[in-house]
Amino acid sequence: MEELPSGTRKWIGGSSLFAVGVTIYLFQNPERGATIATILSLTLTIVTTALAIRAEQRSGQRATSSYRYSTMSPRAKFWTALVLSVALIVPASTWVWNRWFSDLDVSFPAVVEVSEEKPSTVTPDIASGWRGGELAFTPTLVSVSDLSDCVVSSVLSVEPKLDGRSGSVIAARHEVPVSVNIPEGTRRVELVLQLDAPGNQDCVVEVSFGRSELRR
Amino acid sequence: MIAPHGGEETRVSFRRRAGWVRPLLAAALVITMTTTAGCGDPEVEPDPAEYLSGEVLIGINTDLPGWSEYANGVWQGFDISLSNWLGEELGFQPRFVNLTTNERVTALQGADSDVKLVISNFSINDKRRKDIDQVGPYLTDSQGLLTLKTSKIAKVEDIERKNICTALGSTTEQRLFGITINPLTENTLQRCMERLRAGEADAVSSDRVILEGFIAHDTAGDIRLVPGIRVGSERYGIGIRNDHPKLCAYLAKKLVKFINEEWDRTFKDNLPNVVPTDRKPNSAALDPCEQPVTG
Repeated sequence: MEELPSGTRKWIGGSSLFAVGVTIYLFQNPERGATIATILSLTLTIVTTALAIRAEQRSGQRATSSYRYSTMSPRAKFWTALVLSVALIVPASTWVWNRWFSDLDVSFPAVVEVSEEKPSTVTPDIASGWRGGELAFTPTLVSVSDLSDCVVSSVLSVEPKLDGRSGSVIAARHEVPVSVNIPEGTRRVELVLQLDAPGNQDCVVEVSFGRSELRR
Repeated sequence: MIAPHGGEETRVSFRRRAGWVRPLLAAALVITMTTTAGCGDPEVEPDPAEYLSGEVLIGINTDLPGWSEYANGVWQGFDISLSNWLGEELGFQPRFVNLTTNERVTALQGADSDVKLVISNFSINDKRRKDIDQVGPYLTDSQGLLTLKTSKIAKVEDIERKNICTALGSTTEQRLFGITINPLTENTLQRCMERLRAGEADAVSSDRVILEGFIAHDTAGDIRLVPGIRVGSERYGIGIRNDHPKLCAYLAKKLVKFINEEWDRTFKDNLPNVVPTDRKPNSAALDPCEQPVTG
C-alpha cells in the first residue's frame, strides 16, 4: 500500500492545522478579518494549487516507471482530498464571509464642528452601499476653547436620519463607542449632531469619528 | 525481555509523532502571536482606598478667606471643610500643603511631589484635563469683578484700559472679558487686594464666589462686587493625578454624598452672607470620570 512520504504528510498536516486555526481566528476577529482573509486566501490558493500540481506530477512520473503507482492508496487519496478541500474551502468561505457577514468600513468627514447653539449634520459614507447592520463609531471631542469644561462633561446627541426619516436619538459621549441600527434596504444615512454641555459654557467642539464600521 | 529491534521501532515511532508536533506548535505559535499582537501592559492604578490612607497631602491655597485660610494656627474655609470631611469619610488624615494658583497642576505631575489631591478653587477645564484628572464639580460659578466702593466701575465697558489684577495661572487670567485692559498678575489674590487698596489696580478679577469670600470676611468694609458682571462658567473639581479613573470614581461617589448631605451647611458656615443660589451642582450630574486613552 503506497503512502505519501512522511515529510510531505507532516507539512500537509501542519498547513491544514494552520488553515483551520487562522479560519477560527478570522471568525473571532471580524474587525480585522476581512482584510487578513483577503490576503491569506490569495497566498493559500497559490500554495495549495502548486502543491496539488506537484503531487500530480510525481504521481504521473511514478505511474510511467511502474504500473503499481497508477492507483492511489486510500491514504494518498485522503491527503489529496484534504489539500483540495482546503484549497477550495478557504477562498470560498472567505468570499461568502466578505459578501454577507464581514464588517464594512464606513468613512466620516475628518472633523465636524458641533455646538450647543445649532445642530450639525454629518453624512457617513460606505463604499459598497448601505446594508443592514449596526453603524458603530467612537466620537472624539476636542474643545475649541481650552478654558471650558466641554469634552468630558458634554453629551453629544446623535439623531439618525435614515432616508430622511428621523430615528431614536442616541446620547453619546467623548471616547465612548456608540452604534446606530441601520435597517436592511436603507439607502442614505445622515446623523444630526448637537451638544448638550452643563452650565452656561457655550461649548463648541470638533468631533472626529475614528474607526467606524457597519457591523453585520 | 525486550529485543533491540523493538526498541528501535519505539524510537522511530516517537520520532514520527514528534515530527507532527513541530507543525502543530508552529501553527499554534503563529496564531498566538497574531492574536496577542499589540496587547500592552498598562500601568496598574493603585487601589484608591490604599492610595488615600494614612496621611494624605492635599494642595490648597492658604490665603482665600472663606475657602482656605490659615490664621492663628487654624485652618478654615469651604475647601478645608471638604478636605476634612473626605478624610473622615475615607479614613485618612489630611495634611495641607500651600500651593499658589499657578502650582496646582504641576503639584500633581511631578514624580517627586507627594501631593495626592488638590482642593483649591480648581476649575475643571479641558486644558487641565490633558495633564491631570478632575473630579466634580462640587461648586459652579462664574467670573466677576471686585473694586473699591469708591470706584466708578459699574459694567464691563468701564474696565477698558484699566489695571485689572488676577492670580497667575487662573482661568480668570486667561479669560479677560474680551476687552482691551491692562492685566496685572500676581501669585496670590491677597497680593491683588493689596495692590487694589494701594491704588495700583483698578479692580480684581476672579471667580465671583472667591471675591464674595473676600467681602464676607473683610473688616475694612471698603470693597464691593460689581453687580451684573458674570463671565464664563467655573466648575470646581478635585484635582488628582492623570489616568486615575478608579480614584476619580471613588471620590465622585463621596462628592455625591457631600453635595446631598453637607454642601448647604458647609457653604453657610464658611461663606456667611454669600448667596448659594445656582452654585450648588446637581449631584446626579457630575462629570464622568476620564478613561485613559489606550492603544
